[in-house]
Amino acid sequence: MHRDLKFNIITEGQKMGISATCEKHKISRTIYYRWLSRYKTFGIKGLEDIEKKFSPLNKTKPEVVSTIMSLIRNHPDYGPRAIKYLLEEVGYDISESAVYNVMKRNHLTTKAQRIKFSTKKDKKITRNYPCFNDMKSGECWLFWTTHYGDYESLGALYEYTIFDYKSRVACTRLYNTLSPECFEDLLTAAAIPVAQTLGFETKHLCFFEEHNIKGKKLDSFLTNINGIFQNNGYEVTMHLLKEEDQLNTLQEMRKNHTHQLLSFLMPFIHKNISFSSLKIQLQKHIREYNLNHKIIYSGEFYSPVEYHVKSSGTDLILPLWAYIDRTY
Amino acid sequence: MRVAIIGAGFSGMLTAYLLEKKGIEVTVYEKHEHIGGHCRTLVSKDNTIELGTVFSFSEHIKELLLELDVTYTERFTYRNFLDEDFNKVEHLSRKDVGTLTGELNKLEQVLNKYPMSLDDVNYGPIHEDLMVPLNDFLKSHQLHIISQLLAPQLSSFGFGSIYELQAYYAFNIFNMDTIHSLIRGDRLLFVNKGLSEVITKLSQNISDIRYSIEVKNIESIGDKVKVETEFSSEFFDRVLITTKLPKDVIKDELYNQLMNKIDTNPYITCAYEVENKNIVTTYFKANLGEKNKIQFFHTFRQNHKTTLVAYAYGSVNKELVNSITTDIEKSGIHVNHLITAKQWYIFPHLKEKNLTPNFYRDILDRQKVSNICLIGSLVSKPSISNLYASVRQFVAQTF
Repeated sequence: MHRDLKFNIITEGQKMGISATCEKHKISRTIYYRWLSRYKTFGIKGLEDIEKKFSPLNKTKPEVVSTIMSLIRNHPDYGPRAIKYLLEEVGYDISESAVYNVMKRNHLTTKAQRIKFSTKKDKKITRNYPCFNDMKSGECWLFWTTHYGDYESLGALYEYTIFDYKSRVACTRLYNTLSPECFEDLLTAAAIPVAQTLGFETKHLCFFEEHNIKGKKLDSFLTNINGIFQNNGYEVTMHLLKEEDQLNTLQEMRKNHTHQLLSFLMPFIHKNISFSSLKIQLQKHIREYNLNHKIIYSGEFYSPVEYHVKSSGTDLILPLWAYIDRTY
Repeated sequence: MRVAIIGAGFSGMLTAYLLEKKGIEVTVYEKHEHIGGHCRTLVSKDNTIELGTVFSFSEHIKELLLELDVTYTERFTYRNFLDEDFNKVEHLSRKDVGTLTGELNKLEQVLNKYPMSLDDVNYGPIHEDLMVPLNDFLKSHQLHIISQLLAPQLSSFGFGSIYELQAYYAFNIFNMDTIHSLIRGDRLLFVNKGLSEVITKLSQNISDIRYSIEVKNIESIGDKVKVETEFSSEFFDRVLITTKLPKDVIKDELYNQLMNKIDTNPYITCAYEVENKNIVTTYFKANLGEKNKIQFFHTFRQNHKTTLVAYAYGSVNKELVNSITTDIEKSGIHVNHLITAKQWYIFPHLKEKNLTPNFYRDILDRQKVSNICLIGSLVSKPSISNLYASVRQFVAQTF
């Protein structure tokens, strides 16, 4: 069944009652709730037929790829075999051909390519993971968008979220389109002010490649974002990650966040609320989440902001706009 | 028709540009060797430093920038506040923000009583209620949080202390829209290559600019106006004055008398190159409105360098500049070196003893019959976008 049809059935169910809707469309209530739950977690995308992508069991793990890349950067004159020996020293037992394949995927099979790659330090863009294990609160941001569907009264609805990996502080806004401008708005109006306020020392921003927000002009988009960071005094490496590479922990974070947002927003959406009021409702909700929503962090309960303040040892001083509804 | 314009700041240059576009012959007199007035950009390699006016509210000004092919950026400004011990504090506490919403509604109702006084691009008749210092006005309406909200903004823009500045000026500068915009922290407009670029582009379209020529005498003779400098005298059909002139330069009793009453605030800006990377605009809450103490600094980062510009009321002297540097360092910033310390005299206005309800109305009435006119920040609130609206309106109505 097509995702739009499933979406219409979900919407109809919210308005007309679930049992009646299920009977009309000849589906079971179990199916209905399965769709609803997938929608709440993934947005419209969750309603697409699930296509299981084949990923070989012995595929080199992202953290190994990341180590290989940093070794190449430091030793551009080494070939696959020398790199393999270096890997053994740091505790990875990987075959020479696996190293060669990583080089091939990154267009680094010749020495000249590797030397060029290793000297290219200015452009802070990579296709590898940051090292999540040592990450401090505020250092690593994840960015994603989720399509919530097209509504008659609201138009297309997209969630844009910048999410701090360690503290789980979230900046989320709703927009009608997928575009670099919306991302820039979220970054400059919400994420950077939050970072300035909480004293984040942001060093990484992870994008997932599904994003068509950057359109065809990937390079100019990234240069622009890099400029914004630099002008605000941040040196940020941008990580362009493929969706299927997502580590389980990242996927969990994203699913949980979107699920709690959509659970909150759906009643408003079905009450035919205006887009501007919906945005304000979400703003209040996100504020409440960041300041007061208790989550478990290695055994103890804190709100995301409390966790950051505690782990960074700073005082919490909030600016005026943090208390005030801001239209956008 | 020949028109003389006295002063080559933003208003003077803009007026000359608009008139020349209409085919009117214009001469601009500037007593300094450089033009631009408070639009002053320093350049060093690819970096620019705004030493005077820094940004504009975006309303009207964009059409001018497009016309002149000047590129701009609208961006957010992030603000911090420090207490007397240089610790970070909140602008308003959470509890006070709760009260603020109610006070804003109340203020809106209060100000609605004075539409004649407040709803114009230029200053005009002044209601007596608004002639008291802002702090007294707000106190009498029990708007305590609003005064905490506005104090840092007014002092940092160079308008002085809320204990001295009259409510009339305060609400002309910060009307309800501006207040809401400040609370939300809306984007502000910055010219990419600095505001001096606007002045340069205007000057490229003006045929007759006299540099370092001070006007000594302005006098109506018949239906012409004589403009005398140290070196020559010329006759014009109309003279437009954009800046405060010394006593007795204008041979017109009313103007002369009015001109003598206008005061300015002595204000200094110190620009520094600093080491820190991510610092934001910072207000020194304990010093607000006080003379000889740092009020605030703003900062920007370009091409791996951070520049910081600090502001204080007073006159450039070693002691004051050193105290500003010390206070910046105490707030946790590593100063590399001072780039410049510059003296300004800003915000032409009337102190409490001189302000009368009819002051600006008298000027406006006089302008209807005289061929000498006062324009720009002498008769209008001195923000770039408002000056643009005011000058444009004047040119449209008068020529």
